[in-house]
Amino acid sequence: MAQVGTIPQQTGAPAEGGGEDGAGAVVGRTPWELFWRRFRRDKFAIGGAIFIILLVLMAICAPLISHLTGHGPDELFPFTGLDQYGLPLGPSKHFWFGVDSQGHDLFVRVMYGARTSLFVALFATGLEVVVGTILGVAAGFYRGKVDTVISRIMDIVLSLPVLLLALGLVSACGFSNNGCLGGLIKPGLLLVSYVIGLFSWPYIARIVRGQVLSVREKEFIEAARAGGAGDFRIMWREVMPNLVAPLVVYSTLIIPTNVLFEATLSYLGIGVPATTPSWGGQLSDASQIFNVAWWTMFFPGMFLLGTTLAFNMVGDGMRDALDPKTAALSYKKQSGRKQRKRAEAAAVEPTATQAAA
Amino acid sequence: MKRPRFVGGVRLLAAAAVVSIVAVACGGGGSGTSSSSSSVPPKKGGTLQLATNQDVFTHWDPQQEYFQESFAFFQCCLLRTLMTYNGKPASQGGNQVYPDLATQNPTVSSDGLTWTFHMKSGLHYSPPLQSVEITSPDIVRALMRIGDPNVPSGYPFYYDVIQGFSDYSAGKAKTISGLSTPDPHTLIVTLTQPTGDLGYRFAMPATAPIPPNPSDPSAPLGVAQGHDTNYGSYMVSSGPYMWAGSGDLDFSKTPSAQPTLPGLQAGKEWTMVRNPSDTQDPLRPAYVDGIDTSVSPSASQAVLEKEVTAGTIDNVIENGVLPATLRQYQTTPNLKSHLFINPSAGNYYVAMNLGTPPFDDIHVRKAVEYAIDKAAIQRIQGGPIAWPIATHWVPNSLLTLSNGVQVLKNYDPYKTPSEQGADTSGGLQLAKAEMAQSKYGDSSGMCTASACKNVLTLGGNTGTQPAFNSEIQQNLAKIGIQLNLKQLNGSAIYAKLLDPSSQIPLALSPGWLQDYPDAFTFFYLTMYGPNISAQANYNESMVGATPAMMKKFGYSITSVPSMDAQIQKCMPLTGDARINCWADADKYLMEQIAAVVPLNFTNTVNITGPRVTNYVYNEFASGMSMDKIALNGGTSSSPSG
Repeated sequence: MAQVGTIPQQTGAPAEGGGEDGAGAVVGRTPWELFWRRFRRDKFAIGGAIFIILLVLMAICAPLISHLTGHGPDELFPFTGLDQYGLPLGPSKHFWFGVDSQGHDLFVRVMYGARTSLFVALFATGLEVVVGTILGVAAGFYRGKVDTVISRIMDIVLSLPVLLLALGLVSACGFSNNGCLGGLIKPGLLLVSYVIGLFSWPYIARIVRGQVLSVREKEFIEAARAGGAGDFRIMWREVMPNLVAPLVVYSTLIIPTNVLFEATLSYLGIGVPATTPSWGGQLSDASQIFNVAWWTMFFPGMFLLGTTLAFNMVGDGMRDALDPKTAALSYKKQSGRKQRKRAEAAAVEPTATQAAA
Repeated sequence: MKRPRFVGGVRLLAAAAVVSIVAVACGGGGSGTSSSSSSVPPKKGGTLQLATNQDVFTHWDPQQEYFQESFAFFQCCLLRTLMTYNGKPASQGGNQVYPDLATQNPTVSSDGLTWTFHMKSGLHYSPPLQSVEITSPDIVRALMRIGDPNVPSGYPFYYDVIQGFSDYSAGKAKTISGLSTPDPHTLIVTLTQPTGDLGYRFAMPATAPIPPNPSDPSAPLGVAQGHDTNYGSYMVSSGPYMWAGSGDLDFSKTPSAQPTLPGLQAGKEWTMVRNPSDTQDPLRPAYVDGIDTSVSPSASQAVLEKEVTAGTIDNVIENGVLPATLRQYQTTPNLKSHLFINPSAGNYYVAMNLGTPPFDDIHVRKAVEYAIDKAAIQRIQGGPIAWPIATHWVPNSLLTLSNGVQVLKNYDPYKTPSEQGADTSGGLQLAKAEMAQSKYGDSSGMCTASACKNVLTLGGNTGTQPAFNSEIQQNLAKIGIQLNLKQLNGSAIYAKLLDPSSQIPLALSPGWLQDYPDAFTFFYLTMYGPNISAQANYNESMVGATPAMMKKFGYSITSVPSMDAQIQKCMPLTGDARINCWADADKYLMEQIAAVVPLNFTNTVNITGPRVTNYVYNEFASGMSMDKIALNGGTSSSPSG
């Protein structure tokens, strides 16, 4: 399906470009243009991106949706949503996704669950990227003792049993209002984000360190140093721009992991507070009752699956689009039917390399 | 989900249990399900197959166990006491005590202080003591073990009224001076104060006779000597059944060298067989030949219930029934005859702590009484079958006069339209009118004081409990009380609640179940000031705490209301006067103190497998009478546990 969809667009693309840029002149394309041309060829990635955009819109508009349905996220419908045995009623025109085991409108809860999942995923990922980049750059750039210390810390963090630690940390800091460490860590969304972020940063840091080790040997770094630039300036102005592509790709791939991690923690009852809608918590509730109320597991499960899949597909697409090497590899694997595509890819690649350099 | 396990635990219904989809003691009105299925004449024989996924039992020690499930096994099957129950529902006399080891009801002196029990002769223990006759010193031995400071006894407080019992418990005396045995078949009990319900207390399993040790007649605790914490594994039976392999017990060895009961494998399987010494006691027909219980703590309730439906097991003890199963049994004609719904004398309630703002103000407490939507909670908890609404403290079965009239049946001091509390405008008005009179409320009836913000509240975190919590949270927000809700599991909640210095202002889910069918058991530990203790306090509201106690537990509010006088007034009474007195105490609690919001009176729901033919509900044990169950042998062969 994807292949069929890809071919017409490829024939269309050069024509379009030719029309705009005039008579066949070699046109310099910005990296963004190059990225976009490659990215949009990947129908899965585009589908994923559309799903994510819709999801973000849903999360942002959750209060609006709640207002339109007239059902608050914490509102209970004991008389209209539960039968006389206290069991939830299925999807209907009043409750599009049915009612959860507690008596909430599942549709509204799933929309609000998107907020939780996205917030935790983005915040935790942001935290990971910031911490991972700073430490990764420092390790790769300074090498030697700094590298040794940071790398061993990474090894230690990676060898910690994260789920057990998360269990402990969330239970220890979750009961009292004041949290732990003099109020620095308080129960709730932020605590979960910290837990996820602070245990996963070494994945980013390792990738960054590797990149920096290779970039720092390049001539333009030497040039900058010869021009009198300090360490900080070199890291910020010369090294960092070369890290953007891998960082974007890996963050996109880490987001679904974090969505799942949040869901896992909430499923185990140690994630976001039980009153906060969260897909993991909803799945946990559903596990007690799904044999008589399939919808309680189906809808949160499908959204969790969809979100994870969408981020993964977008991440894959971005990696193909931003990293010419993996793109080339993937083209090589393709069969003879993709000759044309290969030819075009070969034509594009030198430009990409030029741009990167 | 699990009933919390306490050290020396009390039979509390963890609301975690009820509110979760598991342990709803279902029941009640209008279902039309009878308490016994007596269409088929009971047949003898077969082995009853039970299963449980709970692990709450404290080693089956008769003096330690304080759970209704172990009471059920002891009462029906393993132990005889001076008095006992008929193992039937309240409507068939299940709330009365009948002579068991005693020949007749005890004779009571005119001052109510001396009770004389005459005992049957010719009754013997299970093997290996089949030649030892059950006599009155054996009852004294049991009471000594209840009071023994080295035994983690379950409910010694019921026997404090016996003269010299406290001295013995404190180690100040070698015997209990208030107990005398002029001959082997007479027991005279002398009390320090008249106690109308003493007969019930001598029907508790802890008072079952402990035989002397033939190899060591001087041992004060007889065969229980040297088994302070584990007599359960060496228990000699007096009932129609005994643990399998009882004959292997050998009391001639030193206690630590004695073999344990092979039929009692903790956490795996409990096997009971007929006691050859049994003499066909009329109260316990004992139709089945044996009772096997397979114990699998991790088994899913839903799976166990499916096994009952399929007939591979006959009943799941203790848990109640999942709502989905209840619906299935209610709506499937051939299953409905195997569904049994009976009221059990228990309740669930919201407890407000009198020592913590804003609940130190009675008008705030009354506003809460009006605000909570009991009808919504009922629906969340499984509907009217699972959750009959309560409007006062003591279950109606315990406030029933001899003519059958339930004294407080229509008593509803905080009535709101359809019991929907602040979810109706009428109910909200009533609640706001109370709040407006309190020192924390403004003229519009909203609590505006800072005491109403961030009120620390404990609620359960499993099953439907979050919805239950959130319903109450929303109800109270309508009168300006903002809860800071902490949702924990049942054991974690009780860990906080049992310690009065935790000063928890609001507890959403405590529950209480009768120990014996007398309203006394609903007041003595939960509302009686002198019983407030540092470690195991069941008086969440601190009703009756003295200023010294309040100070000791760190409260800044030291003066709280008490109903000690009302409780003391009822304790010596008997008969209808006693019941009316407890009803008045209930009214006093509801109107003058208003420390608790009763939410429901519990029902017990049981399902049985297809071959069970003679289900009888045992009011005392709040469950199935296992001695009255009979099996339709043709339907199903005995499966292995």
